[in-house]
Amino acid sequence: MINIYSQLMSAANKSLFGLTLGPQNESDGPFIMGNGDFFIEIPVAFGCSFSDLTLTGAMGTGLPNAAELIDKGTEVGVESRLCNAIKVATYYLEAGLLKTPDMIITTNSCCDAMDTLGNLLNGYKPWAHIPRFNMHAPHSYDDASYEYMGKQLRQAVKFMEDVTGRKMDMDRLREVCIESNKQCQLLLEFQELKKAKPCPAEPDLAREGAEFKNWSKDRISPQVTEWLEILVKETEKQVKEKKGIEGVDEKIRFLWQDLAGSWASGTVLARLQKELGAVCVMDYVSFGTWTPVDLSSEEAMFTSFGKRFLLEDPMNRQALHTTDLFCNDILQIVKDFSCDAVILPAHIAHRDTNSRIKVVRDMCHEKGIPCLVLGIDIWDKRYMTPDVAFDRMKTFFEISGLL
Amino acid sequence: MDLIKNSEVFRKLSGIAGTINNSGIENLKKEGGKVAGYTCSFVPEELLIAAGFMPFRIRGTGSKSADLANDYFQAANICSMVRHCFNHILTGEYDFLDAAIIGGGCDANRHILDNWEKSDAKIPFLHRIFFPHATGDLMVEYFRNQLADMKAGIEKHFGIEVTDEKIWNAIKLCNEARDLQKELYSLRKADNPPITGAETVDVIVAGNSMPKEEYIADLKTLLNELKNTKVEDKNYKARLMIIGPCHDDTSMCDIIEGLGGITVTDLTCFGAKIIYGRVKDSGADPLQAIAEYQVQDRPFCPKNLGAHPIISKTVFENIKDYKVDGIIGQNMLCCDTWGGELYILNKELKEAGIPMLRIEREYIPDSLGQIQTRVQAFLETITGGTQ
Amino acid sequence: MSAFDIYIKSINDVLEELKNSGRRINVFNVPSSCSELPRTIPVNIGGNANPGIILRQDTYVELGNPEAGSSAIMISTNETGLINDGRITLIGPDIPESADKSLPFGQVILIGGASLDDKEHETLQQPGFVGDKIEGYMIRSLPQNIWSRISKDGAAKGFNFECLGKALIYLYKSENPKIESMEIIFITSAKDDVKLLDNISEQVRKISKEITKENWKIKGYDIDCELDCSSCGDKSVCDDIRDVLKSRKKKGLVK
Ligand code: SF4
Ligand code: SF4
Repeated sequence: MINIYSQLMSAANKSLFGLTLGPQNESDGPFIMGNGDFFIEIPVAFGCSFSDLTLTGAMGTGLPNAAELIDKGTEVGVESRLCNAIKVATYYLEAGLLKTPDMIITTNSCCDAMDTLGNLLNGYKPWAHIPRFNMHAPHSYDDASYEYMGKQLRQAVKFMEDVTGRKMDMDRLREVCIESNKQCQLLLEFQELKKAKPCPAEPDLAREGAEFKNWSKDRISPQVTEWLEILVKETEKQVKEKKGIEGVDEKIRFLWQDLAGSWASGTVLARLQKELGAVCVMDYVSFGTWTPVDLSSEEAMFTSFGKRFLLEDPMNRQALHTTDLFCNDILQIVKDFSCDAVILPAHIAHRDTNSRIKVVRDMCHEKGIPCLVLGIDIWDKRYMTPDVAFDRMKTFFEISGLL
Repeated sequence: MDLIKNSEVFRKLSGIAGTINNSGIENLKKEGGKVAGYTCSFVPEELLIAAGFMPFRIRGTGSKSADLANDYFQAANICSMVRHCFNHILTGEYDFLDAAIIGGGCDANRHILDNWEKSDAKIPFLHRIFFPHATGDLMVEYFRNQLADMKAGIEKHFGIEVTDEKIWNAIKLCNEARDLQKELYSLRKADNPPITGAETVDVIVAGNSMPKEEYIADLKTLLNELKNTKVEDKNYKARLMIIGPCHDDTSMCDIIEGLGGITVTDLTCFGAKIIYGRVKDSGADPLQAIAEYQVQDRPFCPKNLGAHPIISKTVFENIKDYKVDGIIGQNMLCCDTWGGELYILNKELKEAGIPMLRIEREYIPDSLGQIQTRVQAFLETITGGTQ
Repeated sequence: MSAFDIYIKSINDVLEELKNSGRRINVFNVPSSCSELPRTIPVNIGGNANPGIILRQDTYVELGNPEAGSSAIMISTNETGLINDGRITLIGPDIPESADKSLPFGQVILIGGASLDDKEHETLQQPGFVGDKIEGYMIRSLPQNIWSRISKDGAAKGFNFECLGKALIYLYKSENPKIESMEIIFITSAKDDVKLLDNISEQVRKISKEITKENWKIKGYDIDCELDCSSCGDKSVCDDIRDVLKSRKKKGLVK
């Protein structure tokens, strides 16, 4: 029997990689390029395509010629310790490999590297004539910040209208949000199911689902909803039958407090699961809080876009804000998902995490949670190879008494 | 140029720039004065002065190691400027501060606050302020709100009232200092400037490390001396401009000037960026005036997504005004945002036929020899190796 | 007088407002001692009482789905007299009458204890505090908001808001003997009614954040009320925080 989960995985992957280097068809509508996430429901409702150049770069690091792309990105010479996903994106940009957008919308997102990419996009001479709009995502999460962000997203819509001469159909936006809300509910449902011991399904499917919903060429479509429905239904069955992941004898559950990156899932995390029964139940992208959009009024809608962007967009949540929020999330995840340990991969380009090492360690120590700071490059496995990462984690689990 | 070396007032300013605590601060504290430290050039000294503080721009001058800070900030991946500053905080160099305002210019910098809070280094008042990473009316309003929060926080904490009048007065005071600093800079437009780049760094850095009135008086004296200095013809190999983030020590200028070039201007976070223009000094709302200056007028931080055009414009104006032959673009290792900005500028400058040398360095340089060789090669390229 | 008391008053104002606008209100005065409570609760309470996940198909009613509306507040005060010990107020429909519904959910927990200190406040703040300790009740993992499910089995055993309230009182009190009095308010009447709590909860959260911050740096740090209210820059709650610290210091709860 072909495992339903692997079918889901490959469907999502296909759609995700279908977007590399920009939209393929004219019918995709006006094309917006950004340096990071946008509130994706907006371009979908507007009938235009959106490409997140950071994601494009990140996906480049998952291609068979990743090393070559990374090296080419380094040769561009922006900054020697710049994130490799951004280096690859820069290479694509500077080598003229990207489709010319009709609009550029940049936002300071989660990290300095993405902001740098925003500036590189804005400073890219061949596209100097292209209309652009910049947004500011504040490092705060309160009602005033959500409103501030919401107002900017509204201005972004106005900008899109001005450039294209088209009008945003607010009913259509509402419709898209209704679909997106359904998907959020399903993602949250799956998240909840992962609390079960043993973990009932490949935890990575959460990340896959979130990426399918937001970043693939089918984003927010009913196809995604259906995918998520199947995912949840299958997993509910697993939970009911108290079944775990096929072929895994779960012994350890841990939190990977970072992005999974392009190589860790298929290598080190897969091996840990299979060989040691150590299951990575949660990571940055899986712990989207995915609060459904408030549809009670247009104003409420935009404010909740702002909230989701600032607080719930994976990686924005973790990197844009304070160390306190970061630590509280760790504690909540450890408790809710019965984690035995915390791995802080501390991707070398994550300036925020690399500025929090001691505080996180101390907190985990105080709470009696084993914590390992790994220090890997999530995009370049040459920096710390999967084997070395595996050995370190294995040793860590052993000395923590978990194995 | 020996004259300036013999100038008492220059020696005083240079001494202040070369250390953290200084006798001026000690005297001020003895008399009950208060000092507020801050990071990032968009933290408004105006507001701190209006609140009765002597503002002190936090730097890592004199740091020999960042060992303690490296527990908090992973050394290989975090800018050494931040680590050395934080090390000073941990070792007690900044114990004289009564307050600190941390400007979240970049990811590493903003975490100084998070780490400070959780460290054993105590400070009575710690506050964060964020600069918008885009420009527009909404962002001016956002920054104005940040300033209002900062003001309210200080008022509550110290039980004082910071009136509009006090802020307007502080704006005038800081504008006066900026005007004098600009006057100092314009002396460098001469073929044979009466002050070198290295000396200018000291004079400017001192301005964020001592009481403003005293600084203004000293600067006036210095300007007087400089204007009356007869400078001999030096026949410099090249006139250079330094661009990049923090540039609060003289090592880069020393190298350039030791090799027969001269630094005539800059666009750095401790230099020309802070003396740029003037804050509007009258109107209905002084916080709005500061916000407009910081968010709209000044060549701001490249963490801002709209920063490049104004940085570029300022650079090209400077090249013309100061007859610049070449640019040194220097940033700290791991400084992503400046790395990006220098990359874009480099391409533009190349198109305009202006040579630029890019240097990635550590805050406390450990390989000056290598930098020296590269600067030497650069100077030779500019001069065609003829001099 | 502690600064949180203002918010207890604000909550009472909200109750008054809802009463005046004709909402259905039920008040239960329940025994509040840990020895008496368990006998009166129809489901199991305590460690692992609800070990599993309540699946969608096993759900009788869902509370606080973000689309339906959700808000949670926990306030602790040293003024035990401000709290009506053992009082549970329900505004809106109860569980038994809401099969297969997704109800908005506002939950206010008021805790009094003359000797409660900052550390306790921080722990009590954790929304998942009751976690898996109530049979037939599951709190979902969502920071900030409270979102929960009641199982069909639980409902069949008679799970209602009186029961939930009692279970919460029992769990909080048995976990923390310093708690002397507890009062609980549930709102399920409408999303807008629940929203009335949002502003209060944001203010309370800010104060709690400050207290958490204090907990981090409190070791040996003398909080001088005249000169220090720590690093709060938020003017709207700054006074309140100062009052909290002042009163806590006076009572010797912080050094
Ligand atoms: S530093 Fe992190 S968030 Fe930024 S681009 Fe790289 S991987 Fe993404
Ligand atoms: S040099 Fe760059 S990385 Fe370092 S503090 Fe300044 S802006 Fe941040």
